[in-house]
Amino acid sequence: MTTISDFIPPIIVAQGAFWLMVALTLAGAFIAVTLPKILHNILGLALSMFGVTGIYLFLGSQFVAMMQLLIYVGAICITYIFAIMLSPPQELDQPKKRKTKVIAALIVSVVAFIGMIQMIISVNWGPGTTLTRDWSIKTLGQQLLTRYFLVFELISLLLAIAIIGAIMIAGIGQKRD
Amino acid sequence: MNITQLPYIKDIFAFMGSDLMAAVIGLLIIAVFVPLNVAFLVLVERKVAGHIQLRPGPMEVGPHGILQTLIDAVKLLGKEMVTPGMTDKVLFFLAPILVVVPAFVGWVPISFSPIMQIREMNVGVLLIFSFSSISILSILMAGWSSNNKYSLIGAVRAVAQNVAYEIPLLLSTMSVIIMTNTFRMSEIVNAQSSVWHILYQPVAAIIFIIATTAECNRAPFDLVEAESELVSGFHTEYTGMRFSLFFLAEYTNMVIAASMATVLFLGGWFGPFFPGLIWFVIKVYFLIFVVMWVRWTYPRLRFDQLMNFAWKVLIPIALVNLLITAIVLKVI
Amino acid sequence: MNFLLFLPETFLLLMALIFFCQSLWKSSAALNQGLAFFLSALGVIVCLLNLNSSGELFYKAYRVDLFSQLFKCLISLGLFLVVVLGRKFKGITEGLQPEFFMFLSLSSLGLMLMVSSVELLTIFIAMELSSYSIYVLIPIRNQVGGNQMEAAIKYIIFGAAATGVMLFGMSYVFGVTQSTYLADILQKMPLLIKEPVAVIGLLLVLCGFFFKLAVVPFHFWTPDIYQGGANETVSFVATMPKLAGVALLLRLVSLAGTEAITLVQVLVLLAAVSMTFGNLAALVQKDLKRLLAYSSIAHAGYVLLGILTLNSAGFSAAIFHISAYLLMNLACFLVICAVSREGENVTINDLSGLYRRSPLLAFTLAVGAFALAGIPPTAGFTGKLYLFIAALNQGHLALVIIAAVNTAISIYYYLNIVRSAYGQDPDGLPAVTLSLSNRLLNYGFILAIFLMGTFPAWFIDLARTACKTIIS
Repeated sequence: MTTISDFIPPIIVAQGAFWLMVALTLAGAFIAVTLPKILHNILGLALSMFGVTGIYLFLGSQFVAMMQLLIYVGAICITYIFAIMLSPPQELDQPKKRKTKVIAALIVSVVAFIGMIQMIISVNWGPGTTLTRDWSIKTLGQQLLTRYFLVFELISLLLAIAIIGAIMIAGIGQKRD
Repeated sequence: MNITQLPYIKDIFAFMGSDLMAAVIGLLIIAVFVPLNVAFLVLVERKVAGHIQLRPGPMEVGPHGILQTLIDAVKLLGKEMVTPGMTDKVLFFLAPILVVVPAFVGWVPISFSPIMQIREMNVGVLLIFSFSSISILSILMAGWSSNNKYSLIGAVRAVAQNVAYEIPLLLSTMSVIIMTNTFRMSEIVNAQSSVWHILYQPVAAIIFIIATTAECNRAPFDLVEAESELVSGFHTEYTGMRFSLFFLAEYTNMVIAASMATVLFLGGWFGPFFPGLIWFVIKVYFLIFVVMWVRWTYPRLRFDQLMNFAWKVLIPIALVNLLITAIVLKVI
Repeated sequence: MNFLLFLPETFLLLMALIFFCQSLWKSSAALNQGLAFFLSALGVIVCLLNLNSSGELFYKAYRVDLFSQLFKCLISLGLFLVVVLGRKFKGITEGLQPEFFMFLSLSSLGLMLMVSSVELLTIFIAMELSSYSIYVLIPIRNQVGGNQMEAAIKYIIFGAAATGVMLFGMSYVFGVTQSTYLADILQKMPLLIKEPVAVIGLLLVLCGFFFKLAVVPFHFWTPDIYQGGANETVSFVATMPKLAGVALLLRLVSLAGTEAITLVQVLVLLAAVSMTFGNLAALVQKDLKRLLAYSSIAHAGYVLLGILTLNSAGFSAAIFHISAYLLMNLACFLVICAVSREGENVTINDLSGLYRRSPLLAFTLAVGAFALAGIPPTAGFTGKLYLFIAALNQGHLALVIIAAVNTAISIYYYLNIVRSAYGQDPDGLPAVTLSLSNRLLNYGFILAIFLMGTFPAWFIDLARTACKTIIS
């Protein structure tokens, strides 16, 4: 039998796919913070989230990956875009960036980045949890209703607060117009 | 980090070890079947529309006009692809490419018969839902990058509608999922070997079909491209091949939605006398026929009616249905 | 599971639900204010009844012990005091008062959940619960052209940034200890505290609470939010999250064990900078709320003095000082709310001749300001004394000297307030009339501040017993 693996070793494909996902995540993040148009930024964010989905797949949780796609790309980014499309355009001038400030920020972030990387590499993180099969849906469900039960319930309260608060603030804004 | 030692790599790339021929055939089937199927569906649509309106529909090309849409496809392929000025070039180019991604990915986990399934997945149902979000994103990109008010309004409507109808869609799916305890397509079908889920879950089935009709932007929920007011919505500025990609995606999404409805509610491949695949196809095309029937029978909704219907009618009913299902399952 | 342990939280949830129902129809403002008064008073009683209960709930993610119950009592007391001192809630749009009370109680609920949870994610979500409510509370202000929206947005952005930093830190803590439960982390953390990643992780987690407490690198929001929010809202924002912030700082710092040298060094630095910056910036303020904002930054520095000792003497001093701060700060806000006629901000000049316009208010203001400055025999003095002693015992001589110098600086601007109230003529400013409840509250504040200053022993003992439950 001829198989694809005879031509291309699966390891190389796996490596390639992994780094592709990492590249997508980073590229998306870069677009999200650099481009001037806000819509491009959000699409960059969506791209980054898509890359994270791939990384979740590599970490062995298909369920979390799908949820990432469904919630972050499908709901959050789209809601952002929707809100932006509905709001009137505000052609504000880009505030002038002072060179010294940019350079200082750059130096600080590069130093922090190198420090963090150094730290992460130097630490013995201990063995990761080993997965034997795809238990993500069942285990997540059980964990959410036992060890993380209180968090699970509090999140619903938190969302309720956010919704009521958003509606109320929108009402305050409307009265003023 | 050594990637090959991560768990699941084997699982993700299992197809790499499988038969080369099978992989090639699978890809070919999708690549050939999807456009041909769309051509066929467009013809069916025009014929159904014609007969509902007491006229024959296209009759010129081929016997009873059956080659009409193929000719149309060739015409679209040959047309110039115009990119209007003042558009966002990159997004304008990307949108029609992205919109077909979910239309192709969606075929992967669907089980057409006990042996005919491209890939069984633990999260099969979720995969289709997750990737469908990309098509909304590309509709938005198309509408925004066209720099045209009709496109933009169409895109904004598309998002509002899709976000609203995704909730009852997921909720009604959930009531099947908690009955079968799995997201695997083939296991969901196997659970219906004796009784179809539509008998247990008639409400969920109806909500599912209504919501998918809205998700596919079909009439009477086609506010997105309402031609009497928006020219043709988000793809107003698209011509030629790019336009036909949107068309392709729309009809393919319809087939995927009908296939999901078949898997979730109509017992998949189960049925007497015929082999499983035939039953599956019959059910899918019956559902598509129903959707077309509705399109040519009912007038378009107003936008506020559309939103109110989702938020005030479908979502509460779907929630109550889910709650009742959960309670009944707990009691039994 | 014993649900009686969860009674204070359940009660606050119920209170929020009642106000939610009230917000659904047109209800009279007097009824809502009466309800708020009654329910928050009941809340204090419920918390006091639960003071000595202990146990674990929700699969050990939630621990009820003397430490948490003490803070819950303080939080419910703070809520009650805010409701009483606001009284008519002139600064709050009348139609939105039910929502205002609802978010007030939800925020208190979040703070209560925060002090009791012993699991990182629960802490995070509880903190968000209280923060979200405050984000929504700030724009509710009955003032056309005020900058309350700007204040709210600033608070949201800074809050989100601090939360992000905190979550990032949590990921490190989880990475090295493989658990989100504080009990598990407590077993591993003291062994790892020499590793840079553990220190950084813990510090980043603490950042979330530094934000609540307005310790210096996270202080930017304070003056603008104090100025932009309604007086009644700010009296809540200025005191209550700080209580929970201190509680959580104590809980998390105690995880590090007693050998966390780097952590202590960072805390020393933050304390010194906070105190100095807060006091120097407060010197030039005209708006009373802005002044109190900078003074709160300084006080955050003083409280850190107790936290960085890593022993129960320092911890109990921190609890004592933050409780005293609750009283003296609310005393000042009582004066602000009473002097402000239509909910507008109060400048120092507005206080001119307060001793003629309302002698009682002027005296309360003087007591509050003296206490904030740390002049004996007020509670502020005693709190600082305990803090300084605790820090000295751990050998932080330089820091204590800085703190003492700062106290001397701060006396200038606190006395400036008192001078304005007593030393200047009213210049035609109208007299301030006080309702019975507010007059009683004035007496209460004066009495409490003096009592805490002169007889601190019982409270310190209580705090010390409470701290025993969190120090291994």
